[in-house]
Amino acid sequence: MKLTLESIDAWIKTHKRSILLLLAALLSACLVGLKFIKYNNNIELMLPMDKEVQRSMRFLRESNFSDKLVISLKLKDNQHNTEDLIAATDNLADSIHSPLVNRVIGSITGTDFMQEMIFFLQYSPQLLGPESLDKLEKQLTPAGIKERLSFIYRQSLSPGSGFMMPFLRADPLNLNSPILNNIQKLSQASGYDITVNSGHFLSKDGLAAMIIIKTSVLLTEGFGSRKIVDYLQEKIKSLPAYIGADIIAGHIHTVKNEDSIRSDIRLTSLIASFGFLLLFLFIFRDWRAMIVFLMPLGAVLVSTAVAFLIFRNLSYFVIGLSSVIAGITIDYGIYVYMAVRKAGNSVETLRKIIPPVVFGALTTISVFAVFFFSSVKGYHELAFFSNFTIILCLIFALFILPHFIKEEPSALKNSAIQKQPGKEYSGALDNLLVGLWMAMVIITLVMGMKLRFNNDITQFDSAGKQVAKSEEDFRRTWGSRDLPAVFVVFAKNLEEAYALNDSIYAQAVKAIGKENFTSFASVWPGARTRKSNLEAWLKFWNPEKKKELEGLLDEYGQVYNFSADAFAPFIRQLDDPQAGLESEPGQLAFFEQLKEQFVLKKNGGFQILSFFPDNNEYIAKLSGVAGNFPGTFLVSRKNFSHQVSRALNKEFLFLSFLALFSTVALTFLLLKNLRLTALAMIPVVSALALIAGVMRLAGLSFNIPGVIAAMVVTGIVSDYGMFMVYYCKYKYQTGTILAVTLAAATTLIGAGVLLFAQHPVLFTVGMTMVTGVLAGLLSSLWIIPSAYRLWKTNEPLS
Amino acid sequence: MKKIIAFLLLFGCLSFAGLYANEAADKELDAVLNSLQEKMSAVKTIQTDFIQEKNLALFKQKIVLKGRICIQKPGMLSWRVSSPMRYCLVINGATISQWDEDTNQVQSVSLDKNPSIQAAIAQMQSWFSGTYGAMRGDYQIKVVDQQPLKLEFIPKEKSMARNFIQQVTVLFQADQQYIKEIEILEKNGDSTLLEFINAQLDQEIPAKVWEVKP
Repeated sequence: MKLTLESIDAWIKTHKRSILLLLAALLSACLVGLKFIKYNNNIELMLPMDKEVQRSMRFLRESNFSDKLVISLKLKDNQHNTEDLIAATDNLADSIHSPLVNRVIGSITGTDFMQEMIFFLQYSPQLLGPESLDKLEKQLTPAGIKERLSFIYRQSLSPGSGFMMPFLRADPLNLNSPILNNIQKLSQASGYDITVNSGHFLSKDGLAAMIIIKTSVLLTEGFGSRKIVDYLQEKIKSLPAYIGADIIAGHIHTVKNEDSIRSDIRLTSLIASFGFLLLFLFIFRDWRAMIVFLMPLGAVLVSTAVAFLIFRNLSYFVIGLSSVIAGITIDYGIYVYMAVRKAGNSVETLRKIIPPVVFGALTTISVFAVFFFSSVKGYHELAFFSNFTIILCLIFALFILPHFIKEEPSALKNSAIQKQPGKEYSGALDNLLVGLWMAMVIITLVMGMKLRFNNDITQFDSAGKQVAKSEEDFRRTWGSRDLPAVFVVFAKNLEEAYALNDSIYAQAVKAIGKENFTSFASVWPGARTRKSNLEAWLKFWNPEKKKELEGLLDEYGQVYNFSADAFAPFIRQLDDPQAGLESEPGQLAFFEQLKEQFVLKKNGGFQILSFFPDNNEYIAKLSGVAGNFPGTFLVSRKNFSHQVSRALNKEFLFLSFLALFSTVALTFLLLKNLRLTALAMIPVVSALALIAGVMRLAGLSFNIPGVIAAMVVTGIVSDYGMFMVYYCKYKYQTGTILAVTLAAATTLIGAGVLLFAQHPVLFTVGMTMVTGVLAGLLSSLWIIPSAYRLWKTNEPLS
Repeated sequence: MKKIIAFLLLFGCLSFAGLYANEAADKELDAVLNSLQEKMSAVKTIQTDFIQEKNLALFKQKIVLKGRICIQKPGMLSWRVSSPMRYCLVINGATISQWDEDTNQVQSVSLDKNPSIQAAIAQMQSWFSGTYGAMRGDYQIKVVDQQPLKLEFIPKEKSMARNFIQQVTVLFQADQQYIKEIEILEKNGDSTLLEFINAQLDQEIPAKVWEVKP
């Protein structure tokens, strides 16, 4: 049997009941399947596959700060003191036992810090570079020695001399001061002001304490993040009333963002459903119109299940846009419903309605389809989800829906869809309308040119006010320095990584200064550097030099009554540097803790991190250094935003062009006339100009979700243009004006509800779409007929 | 079996007795520390001469310092050595300043930027001000004598003080108004005996005391 519109229509008519049963079964299965669908809140889904962006993201994901949560405890009243705070901190730290927690660090008690430091300084012959020996050479004079011994004597008069004596005896010439300074600098690389009191991490005022939790849960894991955050929040409840506590971690953002988008989906779906219901109850006043309303819901349900089967999990952002998709796809049902109500369910009616409806759908499909050309995985999901929903709705609207709609009793028969003479309008009014429209487009475009583009990815964070307040409190309590940028070195083995780190340290110090570059190389260089330092040390301390020093110490120490072995620990080191080159001081807890912050074991190698202030000047200078060492790279929040923005800008320029081109091409295919195509583009131009102007007027900045929404708007409003031009040309009485108005109304409901969303991505999409669709609708209804008449009178149309 | 039961009973009684003895000692210590706290927390200023004997491996012989300590709560301390060399250290809020006659230079350091010095100073102020109740987290405290009161402090396993202190003994004056002497035994074998003479409590301290340079 030849497949014709008639044969399809006849087959559906005879199998109506079976089709209904099949649809009911499919929808029930999808509804049940909803329970098993896994959603993904991972921001990586929304990032381009650009090499630099992916590398930075991978680093942030795998770095050792992505597996930490911090609990900040604070005294809430004056009746309790630091001692009470420490006791509560210990109790809380002791109570944390979970398979999700690898380690709880509430204190560094038990560490023989002084002994460890003195032991570590045995490595100083390997750690002190040539500049220290130059300085030492200048110091080894009678005057220099006298000055140092006098200093040591004076220190012995101070009340805290017992604390300093071991250091002064082991290092009378103060050679180790740069090493100790570097250790202090490295230990503060976290960017927070922490003092250690009774072995606990306390704020300067002693009113806050910190516990660090190391977890196996990556902050990109939504389910695990919720579990660990809930677990810790439950533990915090057991704190005494006078202690307040906040959890500070990326995991909180993961959980809160998920909560925010879930609540947005719930709220927007509810408002949209209510809006659709009101629209159909008060405008259509026909219970069959409910099918039009249920059609996109069913399609979204099926698409969700199919998309999940294909992508294995679904982005929350895509699901968050389902109300918008529903608002778009309901249009096809409305166009068909209006036509069938006006002209009856006949193949003839279908034949008249199919071209504009199909081409309308095709323009929207083409806009979404261009996202398949994007390197962003999340956009592939969006493209698939939207287009699958559109196709389902289109098939349902054209072939199944007409069989469930009854024509209005007063509707005209087939003759009604024949051309009707249009009303006559005055040319002056048309001129005025078109003139005003052009002026408005020009003004809004000019205003829109000053629209700022925001590329900061943190704008998409919707963790909420409470989290922001906790983080602000945390910064106030623990210091408010910006997070540093990171210079990352990678090598296959640790020794190679150390050697590379040494070379980079030397160049970075030259580029931005030693004070601005915090590198593990300043405390622990690679074996080659240490060997060279040790050789220089042994060469420097030849027997004559050693004898000279001993003589000077003995002679000038007499004045202060120093004993013969006052500096024995130092002298022993000159003869025999006790620390070997081969081993690291791994048995020292402080060294291990320090190393843990800077050296990361990765699959197939080691990464060494260095930190520097995250500003453009240093990033530019150190990018030059990184360029000299393949495999090294920089990670900075500012730089990351630029990387993402650079990659997306390049991509979106191409995608926007593709979307616009396909829209114009499909419109031309339908209308087969350049002038009519230009007229059909009036809503597109209006929408884009208004979006730019209104965003600027509202003081908002544009961003990537805004660009996506604008592209989708292009596809939607071009449909209105197509329908109106089609209507102007053929004058078919298929209820086009009311259909376009209702279609826009449903899209506005679907997009408008996003203005109630807390999540900034959804809000931006809502704002862009409402502005664009409204502009597209008004220009379609008011400007296209006038422009059509003006152009038609000047030149005949084909 | 009877022997085992008897042993267990005896063991149980001994354990109970031990527990009881510990509880009794804790109560006694609580009473002593609370009484000290009550007396000394009310004191707002302390001015006292001192003699400090240091047995340090650095020196051939014992070194004896003489000088004067002034404390004004909260957060002010002056440590002035008159012999064998004039030296002065003043803590005024968040700043620590030093002067000595040898260099005749004043050096000032912010305590905020030097948490290690801050921790050492906090320890020192705790010893001088007598607020020993707060030290129970870091030290095992024992009453050695009741009359005159003598307390012994041994750093706990987990405390930072364990890094350099082996034991501290504090002897009080007969009226327990202030400390008579503090003896510190360090881990490296050095020891310090600090004796307080003519302590004056709650008397106005001249403003000049807080000037580091005489």
